[in-house]
Amino acid sequence: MTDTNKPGANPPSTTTHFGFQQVPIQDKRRRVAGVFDSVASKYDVMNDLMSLGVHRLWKRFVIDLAGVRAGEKVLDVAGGTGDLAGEFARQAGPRGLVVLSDINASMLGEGRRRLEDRGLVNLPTVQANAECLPFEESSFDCITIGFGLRNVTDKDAALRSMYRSLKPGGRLLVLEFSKPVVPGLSRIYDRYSFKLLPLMGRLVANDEDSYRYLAESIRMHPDQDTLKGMMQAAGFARTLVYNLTGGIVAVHRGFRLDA
Amino acid sequence: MSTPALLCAAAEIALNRYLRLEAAVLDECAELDGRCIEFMLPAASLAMTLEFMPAGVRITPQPPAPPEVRVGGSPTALLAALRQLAGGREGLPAGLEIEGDPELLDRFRAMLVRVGFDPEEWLAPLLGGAAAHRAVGSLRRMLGWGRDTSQRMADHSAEYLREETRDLARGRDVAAWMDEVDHCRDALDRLDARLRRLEGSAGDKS
Repeated sequence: MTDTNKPGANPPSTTTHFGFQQVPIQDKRRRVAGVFDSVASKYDVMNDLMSLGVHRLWKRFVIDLAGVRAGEKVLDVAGGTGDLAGEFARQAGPRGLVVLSDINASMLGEGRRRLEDRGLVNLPTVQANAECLPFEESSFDCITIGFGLRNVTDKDAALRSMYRSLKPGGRLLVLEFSKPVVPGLSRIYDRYSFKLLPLMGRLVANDEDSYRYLAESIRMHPDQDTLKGMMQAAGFARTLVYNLTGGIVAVHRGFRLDA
Repeated sequence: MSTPALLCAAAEIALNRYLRLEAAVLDECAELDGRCIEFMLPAASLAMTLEFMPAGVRITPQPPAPPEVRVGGSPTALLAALRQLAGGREGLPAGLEIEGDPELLDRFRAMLVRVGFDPEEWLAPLLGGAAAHRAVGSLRRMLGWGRDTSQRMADHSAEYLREETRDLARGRDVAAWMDEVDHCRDALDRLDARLRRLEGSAGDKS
């Protein structure tokens, strides 16, 4: 089952979207890897620039909502530069375990380097595909995926894989760009995304295409209700959507409640 | 009638942080796993459901299951209830409309009271024990100074309005005026009695 260019719909298909383009399914992973190989070194600078620093507040909200306790096991999928994992490691403490995972080696390397700079040298990092996480069933109390799900080719498979890796009672938090819910915001946001974002990418990271892909991939990502439905279909219960910044970003939370 | 998800999230984060101060309370949350209390504020058309889980509580705009107890009331009644909780007093707060089994609500109240709040303990991991002790001591002294100062200011303002501007009546002036009113009322009663007596005697002669 793959996601197609219509968010949330899953007709059998041999192609999938890469931004606004249709590409063969097996090509998407390689192309996404190319984007992140290209932006890894400037990832944080660009995040701050593009969101005017607000991405730190969005991540803080996820950290607070996750409510990680000492001794818990946490997996940060598509953890990129390790912003979430670093904070979870502090909360889980020495009795806990935090694993940083990403499919992209460049991002993972950048994340590991940054975590080491923060003094977190014992944090395990795993290069893994979110669609088939290499962990035993019921391994984690909490799983997060921040700004990663939209780059996954088969989102349903990724949600099922994360569900399987959660312990009963565990929670999944998905932080991802979504659809603005405030009237009038969409138009401003579209102009910003398609005019200013690629320009910033060209000027700062010397990579206009990657940031155009970012804007396009956001538009192709399922909206709040669709993603909520996908989480429920994967088995998650008590799913709830928290819109941030007028819905530009949404946090989805769901629990694995089966025994 | 439901509360915005972000408000629920804020309430959940704050409540869980509070409950996690006392490990034994989390064990009790685990015992109550899946049981729900619905809180309603009809004046603002708000409702949220608190569901117990092993790691604390989950707060959602819609009840995930039929709540065992519903609690509602006016904003003032809820504030009074919070004050009662903060004071650690026993029993369910008055002025609340409770529908359903109050046992669960009482257990929740007892959990909140049991956690208590020791700011020193809360700050110690962030600042260190000695610094937390000093910070809390300074804060208490500052709050005490603020309380004393505002009390003195209120007393001095009242004295100025009484003694200088005469906008407020002094206690002894009010007492004297009340005495005069009483005296006047007594005199009036006596006059009334004499008039009735005179009218009575005039009626007998005719």
